[in-house]
Amino acid sequence: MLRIMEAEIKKLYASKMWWLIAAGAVLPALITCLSFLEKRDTSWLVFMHVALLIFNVQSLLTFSAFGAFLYAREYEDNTIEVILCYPYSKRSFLFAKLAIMFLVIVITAILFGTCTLCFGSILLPAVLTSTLLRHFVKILLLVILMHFLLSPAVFFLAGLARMAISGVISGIVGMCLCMMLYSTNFIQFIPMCIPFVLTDHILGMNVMRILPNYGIHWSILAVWFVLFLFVNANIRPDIYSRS
Amino acid sequence: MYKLLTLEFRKLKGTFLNILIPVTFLAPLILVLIQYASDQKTSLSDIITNSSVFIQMISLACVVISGCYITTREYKSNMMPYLAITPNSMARILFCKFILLFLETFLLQLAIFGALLCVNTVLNGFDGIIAFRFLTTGLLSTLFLSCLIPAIAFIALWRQSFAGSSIIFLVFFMFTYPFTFMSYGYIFPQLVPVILVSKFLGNGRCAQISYKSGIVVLSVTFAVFLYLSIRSVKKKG
Repeated sequence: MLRIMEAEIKKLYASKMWWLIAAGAVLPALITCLSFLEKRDTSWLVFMHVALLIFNVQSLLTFSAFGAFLYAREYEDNTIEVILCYPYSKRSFLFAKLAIMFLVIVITAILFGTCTLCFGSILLPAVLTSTLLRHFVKILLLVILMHFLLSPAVFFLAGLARMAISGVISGIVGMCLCMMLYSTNFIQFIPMCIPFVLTDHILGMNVMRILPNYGIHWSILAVWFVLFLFVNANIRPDIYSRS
Repeated sequence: MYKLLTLEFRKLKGTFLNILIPVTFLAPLILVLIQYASDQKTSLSDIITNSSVFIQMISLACVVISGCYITTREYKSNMMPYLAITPNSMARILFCKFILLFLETFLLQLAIFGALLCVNTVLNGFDGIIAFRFLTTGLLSTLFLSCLIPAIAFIALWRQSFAGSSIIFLVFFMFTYPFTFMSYGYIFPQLVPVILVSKFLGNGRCAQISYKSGIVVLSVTFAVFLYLSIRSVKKKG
């Protein structure tokens, strides 16, 4: 497993896809900073709220593009037959890719958090309280978990289409759904939109109307994760023969 | 030229674009109807105006994906040597791809705004002013999006990879998307079609940018990337 992960990291390093992570982490904080450039008397809570909303929307694209690239690159490079000759099960590859995905999400979220705090400290005259900082860290941890739970669905799409572009398309669809349907009640039931909706509520801004019990949202995400993990792990073996 | 164009059309048969284009046409319609169903206090016309940015975003994504696919498919299938020995210059082949993309954009925009007009007519009755506005928007959108076609082709020729080029263009577009609502948003050429069409439809959030500066940016982008893409294809040919 560790050896597969090492190989995956080396392949990613060679593919020069890390700019996507850097952009996905820095740009939401930078855009928030630019949005408040003329309104510096904003509170930290509002600043964090906007940054988290932009991060959650853009992360749908960042993580689905990255995940699809991670999963579909062997199909695109026509190296899948070679990969499957190694004495590792397909599930090992799947779990290694999921572990890489988790790492990527964690690194992006940490980078984003650091950038938001740095830009906020430079821009805002208000002092950041330790309570709000702890709350922000807690939300970031939840965001990491929520985006990770969406990953198997991205892998499934990439495996089905055998193209990394499927991730970009699903990311754009997710972004459009979040931005167009944020005023509706049922946005909370769309798995891709749950990080966007739930973050707003946990932060206490309540811009979107959702059910007070978060159990239903976490259940949807858990079912989404387990369902696609199961489908990915048990996908019929001859799928590779058509590559 | 006509034969080359027919050939390009034929090559589209059986590709994933046959699914992508209907999806792109239906997606804005479905999203607008969902919004209308959940909030019937707002008129359909206002919902379309408020969602104009997203309608354009979906159209641009489709144009980018099809543009990158059409430009790079010969590289992917190792057909370049066969294409190079035909008695047609590479610039001419590229020009045919541009025409194909222009026609696709035109039909897509006509279908999207035509369908929105039909739905609006069914729900609120026919209004000549709205009909004229929608059809003009469709034409303007085609024109503005077409100005980006050489830029899309250039990135595709540079990367020679469908996935790589479309990811670069789309991710750059989506990451810079929040600048659409800022006064200096027109410095990003990929945002200009979205801004200008939304402004024309009456979206107040995009009213800060003048048509003149937007059109200048688009014209310069078109001219520069047309030159660069032709130079690039001649060099590779």
